[in-house]
Amino acid sequence: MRPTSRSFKANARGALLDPGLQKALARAKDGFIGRRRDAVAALPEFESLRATARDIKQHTLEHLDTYLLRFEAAVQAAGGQVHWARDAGEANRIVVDICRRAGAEHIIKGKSMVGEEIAVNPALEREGFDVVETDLGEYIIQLAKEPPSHIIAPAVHKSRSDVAALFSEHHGAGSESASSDEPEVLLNEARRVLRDRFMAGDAGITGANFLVAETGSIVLVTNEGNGDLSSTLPRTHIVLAGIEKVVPTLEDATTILRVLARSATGQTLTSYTTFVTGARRAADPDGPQAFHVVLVDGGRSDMLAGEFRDMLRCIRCGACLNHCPVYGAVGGHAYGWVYPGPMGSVLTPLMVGLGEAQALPNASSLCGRCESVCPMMIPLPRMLRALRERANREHHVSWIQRSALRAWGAIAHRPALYRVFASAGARAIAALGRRGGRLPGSGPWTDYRALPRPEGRTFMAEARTRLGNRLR
Amino acid sequence: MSDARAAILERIARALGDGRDTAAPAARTDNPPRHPRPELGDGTLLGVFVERLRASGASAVSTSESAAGAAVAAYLREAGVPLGDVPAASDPYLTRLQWPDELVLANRAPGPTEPAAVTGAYAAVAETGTLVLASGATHRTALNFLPDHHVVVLDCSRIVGHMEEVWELWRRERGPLPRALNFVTGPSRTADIEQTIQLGAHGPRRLHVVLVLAAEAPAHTA
Amino acid sequence: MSESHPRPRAALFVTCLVDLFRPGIGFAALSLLERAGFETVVPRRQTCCGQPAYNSGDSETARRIARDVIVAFADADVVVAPSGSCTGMLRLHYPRLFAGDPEWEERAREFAGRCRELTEVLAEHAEAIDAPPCAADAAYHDSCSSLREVGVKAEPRRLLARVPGLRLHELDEPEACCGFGGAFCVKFPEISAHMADVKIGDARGTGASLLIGNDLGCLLHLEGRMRHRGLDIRARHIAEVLTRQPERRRDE
Repeated sequence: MRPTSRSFKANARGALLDPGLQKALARAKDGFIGRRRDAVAALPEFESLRATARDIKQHTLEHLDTYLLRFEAAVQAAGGQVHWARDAGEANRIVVDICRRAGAEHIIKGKSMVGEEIAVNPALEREGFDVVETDLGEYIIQLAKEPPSHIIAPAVHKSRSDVAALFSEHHGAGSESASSDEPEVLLNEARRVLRDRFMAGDAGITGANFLVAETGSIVLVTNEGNGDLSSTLPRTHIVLAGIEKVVPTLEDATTILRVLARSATGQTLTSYTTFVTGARRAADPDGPQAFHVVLVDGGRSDMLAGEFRDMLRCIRCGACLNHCPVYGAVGGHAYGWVYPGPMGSVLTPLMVGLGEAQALPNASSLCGRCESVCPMMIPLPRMLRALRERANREHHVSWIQRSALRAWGAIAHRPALYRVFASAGARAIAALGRRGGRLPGSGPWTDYRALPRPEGRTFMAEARTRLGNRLR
Repeated sequence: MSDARAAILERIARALGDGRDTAAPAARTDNPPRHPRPELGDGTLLGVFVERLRASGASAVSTSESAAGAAVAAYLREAGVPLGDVPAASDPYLTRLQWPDELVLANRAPGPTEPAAVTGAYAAVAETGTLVLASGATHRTALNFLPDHHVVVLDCSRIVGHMEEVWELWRRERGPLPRALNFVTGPSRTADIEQTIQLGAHGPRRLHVVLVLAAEAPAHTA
Repeated sequence: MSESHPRPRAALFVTCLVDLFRPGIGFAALSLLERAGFETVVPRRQTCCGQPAYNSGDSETARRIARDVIVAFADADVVVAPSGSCTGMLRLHYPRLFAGDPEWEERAREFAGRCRELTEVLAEHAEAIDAPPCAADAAYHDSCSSLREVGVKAEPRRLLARVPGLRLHELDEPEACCGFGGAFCVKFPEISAHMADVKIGDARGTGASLLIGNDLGCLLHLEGRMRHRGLDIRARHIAEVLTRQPERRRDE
């Protein structure tokens, strides 16, 4: 997906002025936050599970190559194939190749964020394949030709009338959606339409929440059942997964599953948590005959080496987005790529570059709420700061800002000089405040807030007279 | 593309550096850590399971083994499902039950608008009210997902506390995993339209469990 | 260090915002610390904790300032800041800034161990706080750093419970950020103002006429927004409320 993160500020401005979006965001936020809170309250062991989940992933990442090789061997032992892709181009070529050799024409897709990263749909469509998203939210945005705005609820920004309009436009004359925007009507129509697509699928592409090294299993976590239909009905099942998705054992996957659903939707488990291991067995009456896993690097191995390794613990639950006040204000599209909110603000610059995505790690007050709800205890604010650091070092930051900070630092290093500036500043702002409070360049503050009026003398100036030798 | 494979593995190895304890993965396999499991509270395993099963949006009735077939028929009848040709799994546990004559279970694949299917379950997990369904010669996975109504006949002696026990059970009883192990918790659902939770997205709209209790308890229970 | 001091010595970390905009908070903090039994001093060579540079990705400048702070406060038994964010900076981030530095990492860690936030300290001597009456409906704004870096929530409330006549209401969403975030509030002013509006809506919902907090940045941002919108809620630092609350300021 081509990033537009460069336009974050403008995107955000537009989002704030969009009443429909604001209503949708408020509704989503309350729902997600409340449901998670209830689920966590009902599980006294939640905190210790977070620490355990973090430890599992930490250990795995420390030995990522070992576990990926174990996984590969286990998949092959179960009759499946494993492919490795360094980047989007390689991954798409592999997927196209598999589909072509399978003689596929109709591709059905379960939700895959990695699929969005590599833009697999356009790649397949360019080669003449017909691709349909089967997750209801993904289906809606596919019709709307929009990117997802949330990693769990991709169409969270759409109202029911938006959905009805899309459906009636695409489902043909006589569709019930032309005359009703009741959620039940829309759901039934989608179920009916997509059912035909499920039955016609030649190849199914899904993501995977976990790759289990011990058994070569992939884990699908859905509520709709579309992932299961996509991986059961067609002749070929293709799994797209980032290399960081691997966990050592079934028990490890089970433990992390305990914090995943609760953090994402407030459920103890989603309706369907499926462990898929290989292709149809000789005696199986259904199931794909071919099982492929495409392991995608896409910048992840780079993250292993440094201060961003912890980001690879992310299990894509969306809790950070749901609790982020910035995401809650502007929604996912403003971030301009696949991943929004706090996790997106770390991943996007790392995957598409700071040159494009520098605004994202800056668009945060570093409030830390994300870290406090992350089931994998990822230190998101620390990484946002680290990205600001990198932006500074690599000169993505304007020289004006860099020089201003250094100059300010030089002044702060010299208390006597600092006092002069501070006192002068206090007097100047006080004077300006009396005159209606605007400074050249104060727009970013004064367009939205009244200028604070200093009392006239700084503390340190006042302290000279009032504190005597207590000022030392 | 084994170039990509070698390149990725090499990049990972370089990123991880020389300092790591390469014996750690093997040591962990030999001596796996025991992760915390949630307390299940005071009730019986069955009680906890049924409570959480119902909380997930599934319906449940308890019955004895001899009445299980009739219970399935009763549900289907009430749901308005024609009884003459209902696709079903064919595990011995199911086929051994007494089925009313009017209910004919068929060993066939469900169609795209199949009203109902009947299956057994490999096990069930009390912690989350979850059914464990395994693909295999006698159980088509599509039975769990295509029909509107999914009726599961569950032998209650197969209820375990936590998902971990399913792994222990499977390893002991069957060995390698099947193609698909479905952990099903309630009917299909979505909240993708204005965050309104709705049942019956693509999978079954209704999940009904016929709980087969152990052989008749003596009249006087302690 | 401190030899035969009958009372522990608290050195006030004024904070640059208090110095510039609300010196009264600094003096109020000193008075409160004295009542709590501390001997108070104010090291004169302090300017700022360095957050603006640190949060903008300029750790070099932040380290330079941090070294100055550590040196200036070498003598204090305890370093007290009337600010959750400054305390968080001194206590949590200074050791991180110097991680791996043979000399300064240990010095920063030792220094961090002596840093405390004002309400954290005062709550341990709550019985000594004899607050003047303040008959008002108030809401307390927990700053993000106070909640997540310093770990105070009950402490300010314990102190405010000692203010006669004060009716303290809880916000619906005390965990939500107000939108100040240092440079964030001027780099992304529309988002910042939106977040302020959410917080202000919450406060208005409680019927409060007074918003109390312990981070001046948050308070100036919220107060500025409320005045810009013509709203009549006043914002006060908890130190002001516990000592002498200015009834009205020049700019109200």
